[in-house]
Amino acid sequence: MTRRGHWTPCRPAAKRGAALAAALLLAACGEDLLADPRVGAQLPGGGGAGASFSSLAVNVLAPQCATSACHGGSPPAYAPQLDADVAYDELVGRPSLQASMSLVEPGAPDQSYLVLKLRGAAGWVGGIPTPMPTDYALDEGDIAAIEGWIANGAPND
Amino acid sequence: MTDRRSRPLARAPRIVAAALLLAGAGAAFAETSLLLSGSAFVDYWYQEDPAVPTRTPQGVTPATSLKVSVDVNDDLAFSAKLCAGCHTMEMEQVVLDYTPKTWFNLQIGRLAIPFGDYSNRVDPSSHAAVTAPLIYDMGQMAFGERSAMNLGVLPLPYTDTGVMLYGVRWLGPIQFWYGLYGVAGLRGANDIDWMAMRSVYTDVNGLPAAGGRLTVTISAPPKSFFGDFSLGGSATAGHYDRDEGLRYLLYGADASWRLGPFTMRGEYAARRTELDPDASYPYELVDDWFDKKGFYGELEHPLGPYLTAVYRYEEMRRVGVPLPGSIAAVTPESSMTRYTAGLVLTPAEHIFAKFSWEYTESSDFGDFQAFRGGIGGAF
Repeated sequence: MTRRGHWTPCRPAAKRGAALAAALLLAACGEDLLADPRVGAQLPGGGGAGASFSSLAVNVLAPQCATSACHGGSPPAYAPQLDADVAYDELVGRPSLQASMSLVEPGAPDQSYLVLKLRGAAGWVGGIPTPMPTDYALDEGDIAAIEGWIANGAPND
Repeated sequence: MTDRRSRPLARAPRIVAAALLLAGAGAAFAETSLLLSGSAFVDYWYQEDPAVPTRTPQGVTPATSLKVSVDVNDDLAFSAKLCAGCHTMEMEQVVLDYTPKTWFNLQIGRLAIPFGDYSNRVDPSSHAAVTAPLIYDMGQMAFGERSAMNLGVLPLPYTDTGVMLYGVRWLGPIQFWYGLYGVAGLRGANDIDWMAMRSVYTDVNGLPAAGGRLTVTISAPPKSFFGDFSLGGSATAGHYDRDEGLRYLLYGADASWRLGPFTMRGEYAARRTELDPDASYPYELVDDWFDKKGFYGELEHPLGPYLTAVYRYEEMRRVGVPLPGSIAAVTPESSMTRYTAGLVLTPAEHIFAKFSWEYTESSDFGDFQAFRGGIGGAF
């Protein structure tokens, strides 16, 4: 984790002091609460992390999605099949079976159903709202890497 | 990579809730004081601009609830409230309520957390407008999806697992109500994820969250022109991520006043949420948090014996770097202003119909209007 901003002085009070009344937190942080957070320049490509698809397929999709009970094997228990060797063809430009959009729309993570399922937002586009995975959330870094790969055009690299 | 943990502390709230449910069920058989209540409401949301429903759940939305209350004895009660809506089934409340004194009471289990005045009025039969205020919206906001405005400041009802101490004291005509609680806390990965708190009641980390609410009400005689006046303040804080590194802080203030036939309400609520500094954002990350804040003002008055009119003005802002995967239109300073005018028709006791017109001005998504209508009942 990197250095935190203006809020840092309050951290010790909140870390183990979650049991403290929130009013104490307010008193400790009151001055900073009036300040809006600062935001830097817009980044090209939506700030994508630049991960390759092969690394995402091997390190994220295969171990966490392509299990025998879910999206692994041929045929998988649930489409699409996300084993590393077939995941690209199963995802990029392929229509979702749950909503009127592609699973992966190159260049547009917000128009990619895969991302909406990972973020639990599929219900907003008429899909099935159950987030994937069903019983825990992927690490934010993994989701961001997938979004970055899509924002960069979803290359088969 | 995700590390699927199974901490005893994280499992504890679910175990406690299950035990309470069993204990309450047993008590229900042993005692005769049983109270059933509930409500059902279904509304239709129509948006004029065809572009809006592509990112908004336009259509029919049901909301139903059923509550069972059992008095075990004079000091102990059990209650459970089941809700069903677009978030599927949800136990909004499963509590043992120990009430030895008016000023000292204890609830344990799945609690309906008191935050803001609206937390007392979340049931469709308890508020006049069709929608919740933007700051407390739970899934009925245009463009409110997970990675954009992300619902309200605090979607209500907020249900959490834990313990709450509460009570009432009177000083002449002035009533003080307090509630202090320790709960599992909100959950998420890189922002509060409201849907992640539904159905699965385990916390993502081992740190509890804490909060409280205080209201001061100046009571007036029942038929006086100047009616009850209330002021309230609420706050809660905790950690929301699995690694116990990201914090949130919620706070708000509210007031309500009855003046003759008019009831006026106003609330302000804000949430500061820390962001994962290691994620990739569409903007350079300078301060790794964002603020969501807003307010509403509402006026309600009867129009004869069967009609009630309601008017609401509200604003909400999200300030800070947009989340990864956000709709491209979302900017670091996104805001919504909504105007609402509505009518409630009550043709018979326990039955009501609501209609409203809403006009929304949005900094990132343009302006649009919507119409809502719904029918419901309560018992």
